[in-house]
Amino acid sequence: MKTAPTIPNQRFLYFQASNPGAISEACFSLTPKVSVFPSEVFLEIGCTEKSLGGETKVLFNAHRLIDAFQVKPSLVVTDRPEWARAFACGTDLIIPPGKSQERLLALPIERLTFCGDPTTSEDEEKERAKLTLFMRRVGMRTISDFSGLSPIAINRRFGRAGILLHEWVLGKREVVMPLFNPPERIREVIDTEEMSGVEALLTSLEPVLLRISARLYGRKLSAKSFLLSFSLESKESISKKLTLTEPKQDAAFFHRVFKECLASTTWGAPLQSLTIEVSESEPYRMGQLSLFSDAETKFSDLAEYVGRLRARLGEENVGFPAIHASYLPEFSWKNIWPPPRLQESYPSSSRPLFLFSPPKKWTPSSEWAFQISETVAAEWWDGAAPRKYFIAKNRGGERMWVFYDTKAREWFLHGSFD
Amino acid sequence: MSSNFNGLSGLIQLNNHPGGSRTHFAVSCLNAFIQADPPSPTSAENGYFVFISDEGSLYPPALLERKVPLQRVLLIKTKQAIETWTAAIEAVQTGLFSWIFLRPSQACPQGQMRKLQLLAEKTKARVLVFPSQKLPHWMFKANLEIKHEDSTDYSKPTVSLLPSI
Repeated sequence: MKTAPTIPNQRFLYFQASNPGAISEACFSLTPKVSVFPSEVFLEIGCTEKSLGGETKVLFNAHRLIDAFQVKPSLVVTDRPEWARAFACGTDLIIPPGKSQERLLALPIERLTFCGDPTTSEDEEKERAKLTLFMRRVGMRTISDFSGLSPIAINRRFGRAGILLHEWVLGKREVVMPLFNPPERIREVIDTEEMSGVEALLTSLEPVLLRISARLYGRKLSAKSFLLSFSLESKESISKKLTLTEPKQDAAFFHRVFKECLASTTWGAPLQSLTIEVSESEPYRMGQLSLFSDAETKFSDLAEYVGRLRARLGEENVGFPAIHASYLPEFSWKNIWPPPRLQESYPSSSRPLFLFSPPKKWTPSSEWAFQISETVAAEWWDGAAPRKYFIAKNRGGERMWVFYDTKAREWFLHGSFD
Repeated sequence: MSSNFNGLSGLIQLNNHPGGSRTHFAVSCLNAFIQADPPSPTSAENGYFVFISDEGSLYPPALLERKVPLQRVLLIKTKQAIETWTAAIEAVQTGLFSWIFLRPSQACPQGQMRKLQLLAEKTKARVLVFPSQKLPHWMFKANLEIKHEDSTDYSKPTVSLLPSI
């Protein structure tokens, strides 16, 4: 019997998964040729196995990726995708190149049900199962018993369906595998209806962030920001943008930042679901850490620390100050990340080093002596009245920076010279 | 005065005599540290400083006027005093900051203060605390009282270093 022709360098890695979309994206890191069916994934690894260190290494990396999705499928490596499903028997199986047909023929006759085009095999499965049951009854034990029959005999006994199966087994038919196109956005939804609190939500976040990380890895992207959408029982929806201090792929880093963000987020009704979407990303760049300076490591550590604090306390409350032209003292800078470059100064000699935020209500008394400091006009679009600033000094020498709001007709303590 | 801080790490409490300016004094010391010639071995090019408070913030234009490089100063405004202390512990734990300025509106539990003290000494960070009221002195490496003998010249403070146990 002739052996089926093998297309040179063609090798397929096959596994089954109930929700294969996200896993398939992660597999782009193994090969660009990914084909996805409702519960099956095919990777053409012949084109990339050499660059990835061989088939064993590819399998190892595949297992690592798949583990992130908390599924444990068995992997099959074979020459032909039409036979892969027949080989899936619960344990990993790597068939040496050129030996796939030999192994196929040795399989029990029932495995014949799974040979053929993955796009139509599910529709044909019932009919094929009946056929292979009949074959078993008439004494066939292995696929080899079937493949040894002549086409005339097959047509007479098993009809057109038998002829098709025979052609698949002998490798006379080939399937063109459709390539998988991942959805444009990386998006995950968590059902939170049954969750008792934030702790439970954080626990359920771990596998989700692992999946997101794996999908980013497959696309060779780093996430720059996330969009969180909280769907509440009251039909209301809250959206929150979470910007990372530096582009990342790391699930553990995401979890730390999400933890801070969720700790500072409140919602007024029970949470039904949480949608996490990668709203901004950029091509992944491997770190180029210098052997002689730990400056880049320090900066990365700083970015992580600042990112966590900004998620917890708010971006406006954490950052490196960047001077901003404004008459109002509290708007004369913004806290930003990353640190700003060199900045110009502007004179502020009468203003203190420390400002209260927000300004505190203050009641002047006879113990305070006032020295005029400045009058500050608010931005015209604010509609606020000008402020008259004074340096208030008491007998003990304590000095405060206070202002009188002419609109509110109240005194406020804005800064301290202590 | 900045020479008093060289080699000194741990918690340092700064309080004012009436008329004193501890913030001005601390910023002057920081500036001296940055401008040191020859450079201090610990003033690495990428060294950072952090100011944490729940009451407000350092005023950056005033810092810039005093030649403090803003790209090295991280400002953190917390909502509550306890968060100020927590952020300070986290800042010390990162090992990224050689100077940490802390201005909480209230004291923290002694256990937390002790943790901050030990961490600061271990990582050789200087944590300068500007409390609203004097804190028990035994956890502090140094307790400074800043006063001005000359009420009109606030650029040259007189500092007394109180003994710590």
